[in-house]
Amino acid sequence: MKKSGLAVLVLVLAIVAVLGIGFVSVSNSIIRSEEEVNVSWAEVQNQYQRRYDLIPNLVETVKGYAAHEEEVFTAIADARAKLGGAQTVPETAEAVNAVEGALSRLLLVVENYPELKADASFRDLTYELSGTENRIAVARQRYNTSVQSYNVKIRTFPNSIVAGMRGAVPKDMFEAQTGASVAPEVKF
Amino acid sequence: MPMTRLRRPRTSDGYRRPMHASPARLWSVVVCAFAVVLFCSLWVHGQPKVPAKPVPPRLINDLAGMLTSAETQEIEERLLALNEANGVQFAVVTVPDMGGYSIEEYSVELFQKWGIGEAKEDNGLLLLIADEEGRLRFETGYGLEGDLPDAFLGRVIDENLVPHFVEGDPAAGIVEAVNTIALRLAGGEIEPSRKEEKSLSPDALAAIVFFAIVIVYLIVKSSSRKGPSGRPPKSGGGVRRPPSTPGPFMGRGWKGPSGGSSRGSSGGFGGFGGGRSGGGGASGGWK
Repeated sequence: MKKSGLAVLVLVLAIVAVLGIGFVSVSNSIIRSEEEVNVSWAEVQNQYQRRYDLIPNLVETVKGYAAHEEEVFTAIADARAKLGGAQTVPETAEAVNAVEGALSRLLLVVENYPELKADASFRDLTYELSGTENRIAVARQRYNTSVQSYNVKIRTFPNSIVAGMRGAVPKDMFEAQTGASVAPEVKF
Repeated sequence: MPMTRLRRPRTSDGYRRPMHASPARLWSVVVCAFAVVLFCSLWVHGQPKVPAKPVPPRLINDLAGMLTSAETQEIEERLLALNEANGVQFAVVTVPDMGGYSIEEYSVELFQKWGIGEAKEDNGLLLLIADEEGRLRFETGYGLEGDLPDAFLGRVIDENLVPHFVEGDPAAGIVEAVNTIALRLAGGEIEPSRKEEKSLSPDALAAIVFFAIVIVYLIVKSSSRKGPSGRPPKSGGGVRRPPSTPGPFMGRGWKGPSGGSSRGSSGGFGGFGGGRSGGGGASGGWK
């Protein structure tokens, strides 16, 4: 009687221990995965900030040659302000699309000013800007990859139980809106 | 990966009821299998297929055959000198074509696959040259973005590389570019001493001390058990070996944990160390 009671107790304890270890390890792996998503999103924002900082320099240089293209400059300023206020992933995506649209227009304007295209500092800025656009593309792609693996992780079976208990929800991928999905082409 | 995923449900199904697999069920399995294969092939298509890491490791990889062997030799020597001077891994790669991908996609993939630069410092630089498309690109590792800004690399492309490529003398362009970059890095913040400093990290030092204590402890214990007439020469050899074994291992192998650094096998470059890049750099073209 006493012996079997002890055996049951040991069994229950063993099951609890196994479940507990399983829970902790799954929970930790979800946390790691989530942290990866956070890091890759930070990188995306980091690169947006880089572009954001480049814009005023670019605008100033273009203004030196094409001061009367007021419309484009205000569009850029507005879009830039919008990006500064964005918080969530979808908000940022929308603001970024606006910035990209305005930048594309600015670069179209530049086409009409051959002296501007020959300007040394403008050329440097062009390289910096196209390097930044490429960094953004890479960072976005890596962000989406990390979100994908995170979402798969929290939705597949044994993990999904733990994810449900921890209140983990699938994260948004970065999807550029149609029409603005192509980053401004920086080529001269 | 897709094979195991495919096979598992089918065999378990077969064991459970070998005779009753209805055609509809079978059909759905086939459809699923097809979907998985299609998905995988699509996914693979999304990444450019880049050449495998060179074995033995080399810094210049003329896969398109644009250079003579003497030119390759000269460039490799310069790249090695740069690597010796400040640890930067500058890889020059020519490819025949990029299979329809842009040079930006191709270079970031190649950089990642080869792991150019040391893992801890991300001090890799890639000059990719696509012969058929006539495109050039510098891809900078994260650790070099500050020392080699995009605008600087863009100017190297415009002023050092493209003119020579247009003339049909790519080697001269590459040599000029390597020299310009070496000059810039020599004046920059990267110092030769940093390399040595990093190789003996606190972790490595702690490991050596720990091993030494354990070994000394074991020897003292065993010799005290065996008594004074045990085997003094052998245990003496045991004491001397440990400091010399971890020494070279820490000094050389530490830097490239996954790269399998075998310095001296080809007289120089020890292998790429798993460095990363994030799309920084500059592109240009000569055609």
